[in-house]
Amino acid sequence: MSDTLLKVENLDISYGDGLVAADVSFSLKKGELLAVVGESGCGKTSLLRAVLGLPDSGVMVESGKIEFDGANVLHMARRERSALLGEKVGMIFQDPGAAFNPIRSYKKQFAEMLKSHGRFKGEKSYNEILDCFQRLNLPDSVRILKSCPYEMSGGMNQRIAIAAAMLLKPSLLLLDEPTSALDTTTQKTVVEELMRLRALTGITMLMVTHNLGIAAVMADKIGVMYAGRLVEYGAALEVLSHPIHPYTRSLIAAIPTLGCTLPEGIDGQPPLYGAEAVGCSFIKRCPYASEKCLEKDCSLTVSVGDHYAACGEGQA
Amino acid sequence: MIEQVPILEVRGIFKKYKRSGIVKTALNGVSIQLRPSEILGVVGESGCGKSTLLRQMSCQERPESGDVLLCGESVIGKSTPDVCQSIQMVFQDALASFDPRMRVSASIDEALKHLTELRGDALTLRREELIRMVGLSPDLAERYPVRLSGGQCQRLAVARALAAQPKVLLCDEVTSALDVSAQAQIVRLLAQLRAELGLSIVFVSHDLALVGSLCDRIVVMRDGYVVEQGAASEVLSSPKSDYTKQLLASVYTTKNSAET
Repeated sequence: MSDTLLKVENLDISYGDGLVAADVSFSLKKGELLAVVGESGCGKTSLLRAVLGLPDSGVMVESGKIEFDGANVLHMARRERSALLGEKVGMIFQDPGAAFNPIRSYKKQFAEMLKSHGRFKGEKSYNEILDCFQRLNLPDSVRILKSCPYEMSGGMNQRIAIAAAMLLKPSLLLLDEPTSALDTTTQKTVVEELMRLRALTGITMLMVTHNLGIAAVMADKIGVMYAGRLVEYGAALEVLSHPIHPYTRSLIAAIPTLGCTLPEGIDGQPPLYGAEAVGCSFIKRCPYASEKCLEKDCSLTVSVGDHYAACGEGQA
Repeated sequence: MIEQVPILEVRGIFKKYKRSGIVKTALNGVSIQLRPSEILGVVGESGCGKSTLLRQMSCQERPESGDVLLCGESVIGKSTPDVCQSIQMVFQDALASFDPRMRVSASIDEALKHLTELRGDALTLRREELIRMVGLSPDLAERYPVRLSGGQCQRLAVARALAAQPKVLLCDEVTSALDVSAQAQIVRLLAQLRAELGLSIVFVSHDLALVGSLCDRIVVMRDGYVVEQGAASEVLSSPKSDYTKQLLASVYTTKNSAET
């Protein structure tokens, strides 16, 4: 059996009109963590939604292939695919408050989740939940189970959402900006918890974030997305320390460091439906843009070992 | 050296809130000075009193005790148009600070009509000038807020605040909802406005790295107390309180993680 858990090939995604992501390919080995980074609107969340395949989410896969554990999920019947959700593929959302019903106790909501998968076994299940909480270092787990989400802070809710996603022991966890809505210190708690979770269970993760600092500590691989296309892809340290694409370099320069210098901004806005653009979609904001970029192909043609980029213009 | 009169000062402010019978002290004797043309950073976690402090500073609320001084004069209970005009606020959620049913240009015009004598062409010219000041093209403001990106919307919110020709700009987590590149654009804009207009700015955020990159001085708050304040470079390089150290340790930058 191959050790590739998730394989995405030449994926085109739309919401019915223009393409929001085009020609996205990557693969994830078991236990790996790929972080997809980019600005708001670059299509990273749509990519995650396409992989998740939640029915009625509006995301349409126009062409391409998503292979999970060797099977093409796009050819699966709706029911078959829904069965993967929760059991095999877990998901953590950006807004921890919205992931739960605020006024029903966690106990009821966890039970409901287990019931919908036919895994509810009364008292035994509650013990399993408490075990899961303890594995994740949640303090005072008995009290948590009795409380309602509105009584908890955002950070706590996110940690409980992680517990909920992990309860059915999925083999792939999808994370959509898991820490963006949190404070710096809570962010650290959640990041550390996710890393411990990985060490404990060896779970494979696909994370979407705009925080390159967090991607740097957590990820094995980083994919940089711009206007619906993957413009750079490689080992996390390689991408961050030797970025190839001009966009990756500007993105890294935009992160505030703990020095007292202003971060560099990237002028302009990313194009809407940039995935449909002819030539390089970064052309309007790129300091190295020239005539030839108009006819450029956006595929990952520049490579250094296992580190690929769509362009290597102006590299130091 | 002659001591400059702070442009905005809060002295020993206490503020309590009562919710379902429980009294919570949001500010415990906080004293902060904002010097002319200074960018002052206020950092701390959710619930530490940052936003409450801004509400006292902008005279939206009255503290239980303590004083708020604008250019050396007490403004408590004196929310006159002059005071309100001198202190302007920009909020975290840029989209929510504009009326979704109005074009952004109309929202800015409304502020201008309310605060100035400008009408007709002069008003349009002033609006376009304000929008150029924040680095955008005036036609962008002809859109409705939902048709703008978060960063564009936030910059237009700054433009509207500038319509009042304020002395002080209070920024409440203005970059938290934005991604890194839009965030960098906003902090660069604030630095530029300070240089061009001599604005004094209070920049509230939970991101210590970002605050450090923009501000001259930093105030660290926790549970309604000021736990540390000083020059930005000093607070970042040699923090005194344990809490500041803890905050610094939770900042993820690509540099520190590459080292570990």
